[in-house]
Amino acid sequence: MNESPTPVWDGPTRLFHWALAVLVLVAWLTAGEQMTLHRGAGYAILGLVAFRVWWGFAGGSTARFSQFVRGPSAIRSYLSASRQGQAPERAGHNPLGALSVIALLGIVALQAGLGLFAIDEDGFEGGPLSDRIDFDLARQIAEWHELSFRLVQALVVLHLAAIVYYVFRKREDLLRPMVTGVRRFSGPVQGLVRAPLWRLAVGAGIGLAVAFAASRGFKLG
Amino acid sequence: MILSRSLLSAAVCAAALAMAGGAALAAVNAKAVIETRQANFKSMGKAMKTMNDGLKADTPDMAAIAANAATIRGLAPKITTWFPKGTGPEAGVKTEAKAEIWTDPAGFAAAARRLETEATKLETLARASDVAGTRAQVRVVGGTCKGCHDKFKQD
Repeated sequence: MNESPTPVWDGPTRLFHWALAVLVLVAWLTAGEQMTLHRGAGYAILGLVAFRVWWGFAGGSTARFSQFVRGPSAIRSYLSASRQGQAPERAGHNPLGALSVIALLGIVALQAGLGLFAIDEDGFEGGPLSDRIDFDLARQIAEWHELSFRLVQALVVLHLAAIVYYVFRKREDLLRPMVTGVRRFSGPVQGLVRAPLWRLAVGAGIGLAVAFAASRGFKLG
Repeated sequence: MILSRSLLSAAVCAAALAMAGGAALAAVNAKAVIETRQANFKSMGKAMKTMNDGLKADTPDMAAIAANAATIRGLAPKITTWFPKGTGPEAGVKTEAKAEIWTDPAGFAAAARRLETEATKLETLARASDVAGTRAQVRVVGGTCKGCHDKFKQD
């Protein structure tokens, strides 16, 4: 731990992460009760996911899918190296954690996407696209919306369990770097390469456009 | 003696069969009652959705909305008859009806009457082609659905 702090996560990635965590919590707490807030959280989540996909191609080095999404053999060799305590230190997601990132992004997008079409049993509170389909289908989708939330919960629990595991078994604090953006390594490690600011502006534009369009049921004009 | 013993066991068997048959019949009836009322509530939900979707338009088809309001207004006074004793959580059939329906029948009847009153107002407003009033009243009717469900229906 004698190396100076190395940047690992850029600001937009951290902001995305914490905003998503808060919004998933808001969506959970408001479900079935404060539906205006619930819908708002859903639109914002869709916007965030759209931003994150853009950032996965155009963002800082550690946010890029090409930097962390790996095949099964890379995951296997990471696991065996990790078991022997020989996994190389790196800035960014390890090959196993990458699966968690992809799964969380996918299931959160699915969850919000289903919500667009769902309606409550009273035919009263619904997503902005529920008027495109009939009551029975919208009710079926509402049930899937509830089921897929169980998957969201399961992945969040796994995510938190992994963080606890890393703290106690591997003596690695994953939480702090997601707040501060920097981490100390025991040896020299290639740190984050930041993306130019204009790409953040484009990503913010994409995210806002998607959230706004979703709130309008993707109707133009 | 032997004869009377076999008579007795025959009688016991017959009584047991009759009881089992009666229980099965009651279960069948409970199932039919529960399915019918679920279908009725579903048609109210459908009517509600049709009105909500219709009212999103700039110039809603008010006659269609009045017809859907009439569906709800017509079903509301019957609600209390859809819950005979034995069709609650104890029925052994999947139902989200809470025991409160039977322990607080006055409260349940009042909630059903509220729906009838508000749905009648909705139908009147829709027939008068009062778009703004209908939009506001749909929210009131939706609120009576939720108000009753929070108290008398499981999530």
